Amino acid sequence: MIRNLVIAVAVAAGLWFGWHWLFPSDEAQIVAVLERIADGVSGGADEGDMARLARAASLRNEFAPDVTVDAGPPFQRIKGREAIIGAAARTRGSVRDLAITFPDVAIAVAPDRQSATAVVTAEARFDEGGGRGIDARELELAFTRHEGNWVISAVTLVAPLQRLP
Amino acid sequence: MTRGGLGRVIAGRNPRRTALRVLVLIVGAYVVFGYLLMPIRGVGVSMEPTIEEGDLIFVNQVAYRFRDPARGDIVAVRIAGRSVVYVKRLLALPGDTVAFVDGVLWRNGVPLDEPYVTNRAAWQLDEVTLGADDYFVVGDNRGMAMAQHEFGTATRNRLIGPRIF
Repeated sequence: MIRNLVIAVAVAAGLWFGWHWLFPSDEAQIVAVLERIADGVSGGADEGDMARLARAASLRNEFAPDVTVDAGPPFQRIKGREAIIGAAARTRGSVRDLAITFPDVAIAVAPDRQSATAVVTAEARFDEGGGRGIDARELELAFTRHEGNWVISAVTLVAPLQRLP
Repeated sequence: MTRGGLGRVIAGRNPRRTALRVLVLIVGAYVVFGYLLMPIRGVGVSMEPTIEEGDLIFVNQVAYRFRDPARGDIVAVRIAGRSVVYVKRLLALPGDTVAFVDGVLWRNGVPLDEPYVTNRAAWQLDEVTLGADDYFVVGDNRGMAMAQHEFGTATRNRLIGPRIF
């Protein structure tokens, strides 16, 4: 009796995990996009130029063609997937050892499941040659479906303090 | 010391009680430093001379559940995630007016006496009325250029709590 119960629970758990592995939820797919971006931007000090460029190019599928990145003043708005990939490659070129993580992620998927927003904390640990540093920023990401996949269509840096006019 | 003797020193005469004490200590530290007091190590110069680079301060994370933020509080302002914060002085509340005239902060039409400000550059800011959820925070180091000093308004949900020591 107990043996049958254990087997039934194990089978149910296996089916549950299998189902979620085969058909991940929208939230899980979005988290996977973030993980791929973190992987694509991060890299060790011993990485060569070609590997760095290949890593940056791998980000192509995670962004909409007309994606925008708005970091607020004094930075200029970046528009277009190629511009972002170029910026990511340049960033990796100037930082020897970079690790990006997204420790806090809050996702809201629209009822029609064609768009979503995610408020995330992006944490960067890096080595600029003068010692290790850490920075963290809050970002608001807009996601849309592009050819069936979730892609980022807009990135906005959330300013914790609003400057007075 | 013999191996048994060392084990006795570490575990005490009653190992079970020692383990319980260690567990209570760990849980207590987790609760105190995770949910009640936030330890913050000072980085940067914006709060000098009140908080110097490397100073350790503690912020009461539950205070604002029981009282409203008050003018003069030194507050932690959440930038991103749970642990990246600014530490600033809260100087004006929603509905107040603020202005800088030759480096002196005017609040509700009255110049503030701020003995903690030891360096003062000639900051200028036209009078502004704060919105319904605008809490005006600024660092004590007014000797730096206004453009290089991060200050402005934060929303209530970004105020973690006041410094207690």
